[in-house]
Amino acid sequence: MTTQRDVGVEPVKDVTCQYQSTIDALRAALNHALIGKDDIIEMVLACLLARGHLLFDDLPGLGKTTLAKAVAHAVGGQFARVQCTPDLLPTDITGFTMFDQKAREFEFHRGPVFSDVLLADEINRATPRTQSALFEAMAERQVTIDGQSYPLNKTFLVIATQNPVESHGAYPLPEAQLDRFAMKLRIGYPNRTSELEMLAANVGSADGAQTETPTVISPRQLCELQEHVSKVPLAENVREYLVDLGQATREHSAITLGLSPRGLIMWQRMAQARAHLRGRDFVTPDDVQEVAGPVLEVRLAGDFDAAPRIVEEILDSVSVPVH
Amino acid sequence: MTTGRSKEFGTLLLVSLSAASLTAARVEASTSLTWLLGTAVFFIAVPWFVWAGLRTQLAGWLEFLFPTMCILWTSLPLATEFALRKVGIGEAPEMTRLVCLQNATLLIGAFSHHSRFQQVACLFAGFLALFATATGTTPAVYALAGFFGVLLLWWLMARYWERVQQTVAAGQTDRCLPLRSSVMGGVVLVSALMLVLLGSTSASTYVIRGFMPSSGGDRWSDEFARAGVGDGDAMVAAKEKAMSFGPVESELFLDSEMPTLYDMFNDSYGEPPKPKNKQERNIGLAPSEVQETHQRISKTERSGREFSVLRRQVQGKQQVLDGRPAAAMIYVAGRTPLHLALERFDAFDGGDWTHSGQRDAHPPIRLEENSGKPWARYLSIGASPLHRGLERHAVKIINLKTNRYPSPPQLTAVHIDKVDQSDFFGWTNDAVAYMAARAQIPQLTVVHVISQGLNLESLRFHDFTARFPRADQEGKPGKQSAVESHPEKVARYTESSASNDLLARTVAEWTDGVPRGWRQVEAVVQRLRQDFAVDRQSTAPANCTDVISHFLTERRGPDYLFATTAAVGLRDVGYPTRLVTGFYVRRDRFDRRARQTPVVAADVHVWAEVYVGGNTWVAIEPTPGYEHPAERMTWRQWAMAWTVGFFSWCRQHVIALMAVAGGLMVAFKTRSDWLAFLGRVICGLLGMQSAQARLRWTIRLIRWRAWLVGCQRPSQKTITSWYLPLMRTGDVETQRWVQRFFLWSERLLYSEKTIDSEDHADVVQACRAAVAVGHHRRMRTCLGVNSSKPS
Repeated sequence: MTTQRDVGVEPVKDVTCQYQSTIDALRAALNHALIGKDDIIEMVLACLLARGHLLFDDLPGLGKTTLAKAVAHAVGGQFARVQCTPDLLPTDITGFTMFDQKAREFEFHRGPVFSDVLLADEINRATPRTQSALFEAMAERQVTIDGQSYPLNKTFLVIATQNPVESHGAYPLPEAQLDRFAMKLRIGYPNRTSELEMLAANVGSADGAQTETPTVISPRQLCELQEHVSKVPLAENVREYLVDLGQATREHSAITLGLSPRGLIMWQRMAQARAHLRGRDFVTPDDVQEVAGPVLEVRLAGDFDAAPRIVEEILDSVSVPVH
Repeated sequence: MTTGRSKEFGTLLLVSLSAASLTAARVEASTSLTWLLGTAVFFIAVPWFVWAGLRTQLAGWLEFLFPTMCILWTSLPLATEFALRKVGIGEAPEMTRLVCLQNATLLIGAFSHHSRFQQVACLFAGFLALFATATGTTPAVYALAGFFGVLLLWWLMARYWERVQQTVAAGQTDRCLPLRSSVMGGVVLVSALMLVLLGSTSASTYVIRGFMPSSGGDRWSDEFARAGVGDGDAMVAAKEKAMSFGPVESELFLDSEMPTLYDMFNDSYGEPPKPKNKQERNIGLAPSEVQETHQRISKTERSGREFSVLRRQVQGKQQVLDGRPAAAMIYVAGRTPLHLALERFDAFDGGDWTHSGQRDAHPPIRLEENSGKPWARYLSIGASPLHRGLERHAVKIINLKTNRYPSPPQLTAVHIDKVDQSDFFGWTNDAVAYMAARAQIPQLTVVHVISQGLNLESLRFHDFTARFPRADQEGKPGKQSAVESHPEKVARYTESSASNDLLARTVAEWTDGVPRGWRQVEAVVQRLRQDFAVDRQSTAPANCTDVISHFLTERRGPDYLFATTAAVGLRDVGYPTRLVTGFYVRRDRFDRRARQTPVVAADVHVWAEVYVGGNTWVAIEPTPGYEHPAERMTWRQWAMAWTVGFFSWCRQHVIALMAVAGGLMVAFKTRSDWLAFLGRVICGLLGMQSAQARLRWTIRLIRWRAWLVGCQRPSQKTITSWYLPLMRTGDVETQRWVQRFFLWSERLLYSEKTIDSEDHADVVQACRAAVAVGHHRRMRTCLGVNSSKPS
């Protein structure tokens, strides 16, 4: 899809936002962490502003974990990481209650979900039981243990990575779990220039670790920004366009499970975030189309490889409002 | 099952077909064909635009306007009819009302996405088609109505199966019409109407009577009425006054001082018959069919025994007939133009054409009955291999005093109503069919004539004169054919003592290199038509002894000189010819409403005939301005004639054609330029009101230009993603303004915020940049760089 960036001129900002400098700093920090993947960074930023959870789906070593850590550091919150394996238990994620011999009472030990950014690495290596432990945390931003509900941070963000489903020892994520992610991204291999740049940056770094990403925004600021983005208005014709697209996913012959209303709401939020990142205070069909791929690919059950083509077909089946 | 869209398309097509069949029926009685066809196309086309408009964003607006449109569109024919009558163009009242119904039906058809409208439109369309077939008589009406019938059948079947499917799917019984409301409503309406019409004698009865006026039989009549009870004013006039020309073959026959065809037998007065100059044979009629008139009837034509080609034009003398109710001498119904022969001459002495007095042998005239009518057969059908097809005309004698039947070439049969005796039909010595034993055909007699069509193709490829007896073979035994059994006939008609050297040389020159046969005849005729001009005033001087030479020198003259020159000239080269006088029925005199052609005194004409063997004489028309007698062509000939005609027309207009072709080519080559310019002008004018209008019209202009370069935006692509790659420039600042234009456009289209007045300057600059960068030529360059359309 052709975007404004393709024509070599920076997009014109329509509105000046008080958070613009923060967003620019965030963008720069993430671009520094993952070189040559501007499009991916834009999507990650949109996801962050839309308060959505992110799923990376790619081969090992392409920078999924690096990006997740960079996001965690950039938003300055508490970062937690869970390396998912088949023997990982739900309590390993949510936390558990333990009897304190000294205090002679049960004490709750918080799991990694009580953080601002949770990196669930290789999530599809965990058993479905463990995966489902994340359900409540992702959807409702709280966990319930022994009948007691514990709220999570407002900016709680899950960045999960998964290896392609064909890999050995992987448990495919159920649709219900997938629907809780805002989008699925595939990072892909960097281009030649980016790789050269990356190699040059790595010279002199004995353990291969990259420089620490600076913190550019506090969780409170992020929360405000997310609130601000959720207020970006959509004209009625754009809302109708979104609904038509949602309907088209349900009517497409290759899709067994169409887009849920929750998915549609997430699509709208992603489009709002995208519009805001573009410096606009209104959403256009371009925004809707640009986030369509990542938003739909995580939800549409079906052939993994055919997903981009199906998304293209869905977009091609609905007319854009121009009146 | 048909989709909704095709269903609605089918309904409107059905209605349009019924409207077309009604139009075809209206053509027959129309006073202005151009106006009728123009309005018909307009009336049918507009609902199609409405239909198309309903499939765009205008749908809501059109739905809202439907009642108003329906009223206006239905009453439009009434308004136009009212206006047109002021300028003398009009149509029968029932036709105007039907056009109103047609318009209503078409509009309802356009809105046929409402299922009830679909049924109503179909019903009305059926009524229109039924009416068209009931009133129309031309094949076009039947063809269109037939096609309508087929389509209607298909439509009904499709609706039926659709209903069956729906009923089965719903598992319930279905009733197509609400029985109670529709049937009961209909019964109540009809009863009320009957009550008003029959149950009262109040003023409303008279009002309703005038609502559907007919042309006669009532107090209210209409000048444009097509037909009606008693056939209107014309019929009334014909009933009361036989001199006027009614649309019937007179039920009443004229009894005047002049001898009539039919026997007078008036016992009621008991008076002795009036003395007559001479006794004529008559047909007996009932007294009720006879009406007396004492009006003087003019004698318009004197049948001469000779035809002089030496004549003087008398200035100011007009052949106005005294006491003439109609300007016409005769009326002709049937195909025009037509040559109607009244007299034929075989001998020419250089100044006068005369009858030699010798009589040609003719086959006997037989009286046959055809469809209950007596027909006198003059020539058997297909007697000659040249014969091809039959043609029928009706000739109505009005003011012509002659006993000769005005007859077309190759007269085959003659019929006069109620005349069933063979001795009323005969041949004159000069081979013209005539009413034997009578001095003249009575006024108002309608003579039906059937003539054979001719196909001259076979004459063109062999010398038909080869079979004629030559001088050295005359009288030799063993000649079997009909042609050769009359050697004196050929000799008489090829006698050319009056010819002269100049004519002989001229004709020899004209026929030089042309193979002998009909093509030589055509060559002579063609040269006369090409090189000579008609001038009724240009006659030879009184003392001229050689009229033909004078004509050949002057190269202009009246029609009889053309005919004489052709006839004598062809005799010179051995073709038997004779001169014919009569009428030329002009095509341009055709009275569309009466469906007949009047022939006036000015239509007297002279032409010639060439003998080609057997009993066949072929008429030739050497006078320019008069059409050749029609030839019945085969499809191949017809195609050839058209091709040749087309190419010769092209050759004549080669410069104009080249100029037009060149102009069209330039226009085609530069089509995107001037179309873009046009778009620019329109958008520039319309976008001047406000920033919003300017933005909207600039978007339309960009869309128009993209369409011109063949890069139309698919509806699924956003305007920015599609048009921005087509609008690239190296200048960063300009490019920034182009992007601002798209930003403003998106704001206009997708933001609920309005564009403030302080942004006006910014919008204007952005639009200017977009118009400059989004030029169609630049777009083409961008396309070339991309080597494909934008993704």
